Amino acid sequence: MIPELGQVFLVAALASALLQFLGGIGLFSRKNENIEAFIERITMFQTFSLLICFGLLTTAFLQDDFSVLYVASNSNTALPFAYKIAAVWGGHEGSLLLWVLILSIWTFLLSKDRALKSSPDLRIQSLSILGLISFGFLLFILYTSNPFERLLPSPIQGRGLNPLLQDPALVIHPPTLYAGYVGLAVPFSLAVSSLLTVNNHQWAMHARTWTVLSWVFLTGGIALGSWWAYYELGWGGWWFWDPVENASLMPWFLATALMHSLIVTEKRGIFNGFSTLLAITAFSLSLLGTFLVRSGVLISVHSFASDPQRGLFILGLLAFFSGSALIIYSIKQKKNKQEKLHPLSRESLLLLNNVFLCASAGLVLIGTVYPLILEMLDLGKISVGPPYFNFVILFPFIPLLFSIGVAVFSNWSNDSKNLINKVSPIILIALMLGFAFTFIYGWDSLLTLIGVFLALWTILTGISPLIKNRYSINKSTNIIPMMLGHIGLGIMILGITVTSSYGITFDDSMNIEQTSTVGDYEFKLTEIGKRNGPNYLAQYASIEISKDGQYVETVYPEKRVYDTSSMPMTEAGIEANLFRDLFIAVGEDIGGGSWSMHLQYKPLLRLIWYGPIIMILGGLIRVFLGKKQTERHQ
Amino acid sequence: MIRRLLPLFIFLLLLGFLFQSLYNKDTELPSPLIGKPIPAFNLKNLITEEEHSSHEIIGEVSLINVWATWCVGCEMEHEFLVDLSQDKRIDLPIIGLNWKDDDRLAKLWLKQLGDPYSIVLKDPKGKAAIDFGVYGAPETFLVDSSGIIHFKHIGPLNREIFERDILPLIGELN
Amino acid sequence: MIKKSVICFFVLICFSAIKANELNSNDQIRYQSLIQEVRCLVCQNQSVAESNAELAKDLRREIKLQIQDGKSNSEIKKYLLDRYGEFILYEPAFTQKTLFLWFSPIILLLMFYGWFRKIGN
Repeated sequence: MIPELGQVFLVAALASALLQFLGGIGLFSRKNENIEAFIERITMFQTFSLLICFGLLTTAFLQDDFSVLYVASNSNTALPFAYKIAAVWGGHEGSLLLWVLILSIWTFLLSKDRALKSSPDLRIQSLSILGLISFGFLLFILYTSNPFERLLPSPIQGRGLNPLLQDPALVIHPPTLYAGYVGLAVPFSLAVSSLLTVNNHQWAMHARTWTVLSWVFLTGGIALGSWWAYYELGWGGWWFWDPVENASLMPWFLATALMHSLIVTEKRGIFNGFSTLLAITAFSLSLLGTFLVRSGVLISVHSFASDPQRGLFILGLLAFFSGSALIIYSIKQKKNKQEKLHPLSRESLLLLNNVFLCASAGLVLIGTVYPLILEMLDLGKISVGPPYFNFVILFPFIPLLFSIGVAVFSNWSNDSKNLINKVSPIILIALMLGFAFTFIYGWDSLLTLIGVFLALWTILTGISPLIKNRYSINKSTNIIPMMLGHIGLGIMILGITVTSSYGITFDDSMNIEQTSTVGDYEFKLTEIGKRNGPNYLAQYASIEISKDGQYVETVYPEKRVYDTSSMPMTEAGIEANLFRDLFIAVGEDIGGGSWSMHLQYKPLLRLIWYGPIIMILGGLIRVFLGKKQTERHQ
Repeated sequence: MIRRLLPLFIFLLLLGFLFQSLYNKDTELPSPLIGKPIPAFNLKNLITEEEHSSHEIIGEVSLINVWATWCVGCEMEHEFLVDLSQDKRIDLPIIGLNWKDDDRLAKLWLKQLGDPYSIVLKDPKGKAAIDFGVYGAPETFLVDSSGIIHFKHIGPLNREIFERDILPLIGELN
Repeated sequence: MIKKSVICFFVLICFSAIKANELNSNDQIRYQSLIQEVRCLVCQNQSVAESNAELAKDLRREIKLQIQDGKSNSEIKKYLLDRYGEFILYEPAFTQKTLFLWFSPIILLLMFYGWFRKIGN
C-alpha cells in the first residue's frame, strides 16, 4: 500500500510542478496578485507532496519492505537503523527523489522571500522556471527511476547497502551537496527571469543571499566528501580528482565567482551580463555533474547508475534548461553599461579573480571530459588524473590567491593611489613568515614557499580590515563574511601545501612487537586480532604510537569484510591533533606473522577541513546579516 | 552578437560529445601487445611441474587463455572452450595460463569440468600475467605460428564472439 | 644489563633480516609517488596505491621490485605502458593528441584575459 501511495503523491507533485509553471506564464490569470497567490499555494502543495513521498520511502526502508525494488537493492534487515535512513538516498532513485525534494524546499523558501515580493514579475517568472525544472526531474523519476517500483515476488532479504556508504559522514554528505547543487537553481531562475522580464540588474540583489546559501551547502558538501574519502577509503588521500569530485568542484568555482560578481552588479550596476552568464553556467554545471554521476559515462567510485536511457534523459534536461537559458541570454542580454574601469579598482580586481575562477572551472572541465572526447574520436583511451590536475590548477590559482589579497585593499570605482604602499608591508610580513615557516619545517621546494606565502598572504589580508578600522567593522555586512571567507581559504591552502610537501608515507611490513619509524614517531604493532561487528567481520591491529620514547596513543586500524560484499574495506586508525595526523591502515597478511602496514604522517592536514568550516561560518553570517538588512530596507 | 553566442556554441559542442559518449560503451582496453610477439617467460606446467619457456610453446596458430578457478567468467566460457578443443575442423590448440590460483583447486576444476588445454602453465604470482597486460580473467589471445599476438578478447569467450572475431583471423593466418 | 643488550642485538638482527625486502627512505618516496600515478584497471578510478584489488597488489609488488632493481621512473612507466597502454598512467603523455590538454591552462588564461580586457574597457 505504501509504495502505491508514494506513487500517487509523486504524480501529484508532478502535476503541481506543471501547474506552477503554467500559472507563472499566465495561463490561468493575467493579474499578478492572482498568479502570486496561486503559485504560493501550489508551491507549498508540491513541497508537501514530496515530503510525504520521501517519508513513505523512508517508512518502506524502516519496515524492510523488500517488495519495493529500490529497498531490496539498497537495504537489508541487518542494516543498523541510521543506515536504513541513509540508504533512502544511497542509490540512484532515492537520491533523485532527494534532489527534487530539496529543489521544492528551495522553491518554497524563495516564495517566502519578502524582499522579492517588491518585484512581482521577477518573482513569478523565477518560481515558474523552478516549477519547470522540478517538472522535468519529476518526469525523469517517474519515467526511468521510480523508487516505488514493486519487486514481485518479494525477496526475503535485501541486497544491503554498499559498505562504503555505511558511514556517518556519508549520511549527511549527499543531502548537503545536493542542497548546494540544487540551490544554484535559484540564482539561475532569477537571472533567466530577469532576462525575460525587467531585464535590468535588480535580480542581483535578490540572488545574492541565495547564492551565498547554496555556496555554503556546496562548500560543506565538498568538504564532507573529502573528509569521508580521507578516513573511509582507507589510504589517507583527501582529494582524488575523481570525475564526481570534479563535478562538484566546477559549480563551486563558478558559485564562488558568482557570489563576488553579484556584489559588483548590485553595488555598481555593472557586469550584469557576466553575472547572468555565471548564474546560468553554475547551474548548468551542477546539471552536468548530475549527468556525469548518473549516466556512468565516466567510470568512477560513485556512479551507481549506468543506464543509457537515464543518461539520455538527464542530457535532454541539461540541453533544454541550459540551452534555452543560453539562447535567451544571447538574444536578450543588453550591452554592458559602458564605463571605463580603473585597472586597480575593486571591481576590476574582482572581475580578474572571477576570470581566474572561471579558468579553474574550465580546466577541470577539460581534464574531466578530455578522455571521453579522445575516445570518441577513436584516438585511444587515456587517463587524466591527479598528476595532471595538481599541476595545471596552479596556473590560475597562484595569480588568483595573490590578487585576492590586493583586492581587499582596493577601493571601489578608483585606482587607490597608494595601493603599493598599503600592500607591501603585508607582502613583506607574509614573505618573512613564509621563510620562517620553511626554515622550521625544512626547505622543500620553491613551490612550497610560494604556497605557504600565498596562504599567509591571504590570511593576513583577510585579517587586515580588523586592524585598519578597528571600531567601524559593523558598517558593512560584507566585511566579516569576507574576512572569514578569505581567512578560511588561506588556512585551507596552508593545510594543502604543508601536508603535500612535508607529509610522509611509509609502507612497511611489521611483526608483533616490532616498531616502525615515520618522521619523529614510532609505531609499534602490539596485537593482531579478530572482532565481530553488527554486519561485518573485522581483522584489527593494535598499534602503539610514541614520540621520542613518550607514549602518545594506541590506535586500532581494521580491515572489514561485510556480509554483503567480498571486497575487504579498510578502516584506518587515525591519531590527530591540530598540527598533524597520524594515519595507519592495515594491509595484507604477508605470512610468517608479518603484516604490511600503511603509515602516514600528515602535518597540518586538519586545516584542509578547518578552512572550509571558517568559510562556511562567513557565508552563514552573510546570509543572516543580508536577510536582516534587506528586511530593514522594506 | 557572435561573442554573445560563444557560450551557447561551446555548450552545444560539449553536449554533442556527451551525447556520443553515452553510446560509446566500449569498456575494454585496447592492448598495446597486438602485433607484437608474446612476452618471454619461464613457467611451470600445472600438471607435470616441468618448466617451459615462451619459445617452447609457440609454433602454430593457437589461443592463449588466461583463467582461474576464482573467476566467474571463466566458468561461463569453460564449456565452450572444451567444445572448441574437440572441434577437429578448426583444430586450434588452446594454451592455458592459470593465473594466481591454487594448484589443487585448478587440477580439480580440470578434472571435473574437462580439460580443453593442450598445456596449462601456472602463474601463481601473476608476474607473467602483468607481462601479458592481463587485468581481468578471463582473457584470450590469438597467437600465430611465430608467436605474434593478433587479437585479444577480454571477458568470457563464446561461439558467437569466436566466429565473429577470431575465426576469420585464423583463416588469414593459416 | 648484558642480557638485555644481547637480546637487543638479536632483535636488531632479526629486524634487519626482515626489513631487507623493504625500500630505503628515498626509494620509499619514489615508490609512493609512483604507485599513485598508476591506475588500477579493475577498480573504478583508483590508483594502485589506493586499492585492495589483487591486480593492484601485484602491480605494487612489481613496481617495488623494479625500484629495488635500480630501474628509473621512466623505465618503470615504459614497462607499464608497453603492457597496458596509456590508460594505466594518470598523467597523460605529452603527444599530439594531448597537445590541447597540456596547453589548456595557457589557452584558457589568455582567452579569459582577452575577455577581461574587453569587459574592462
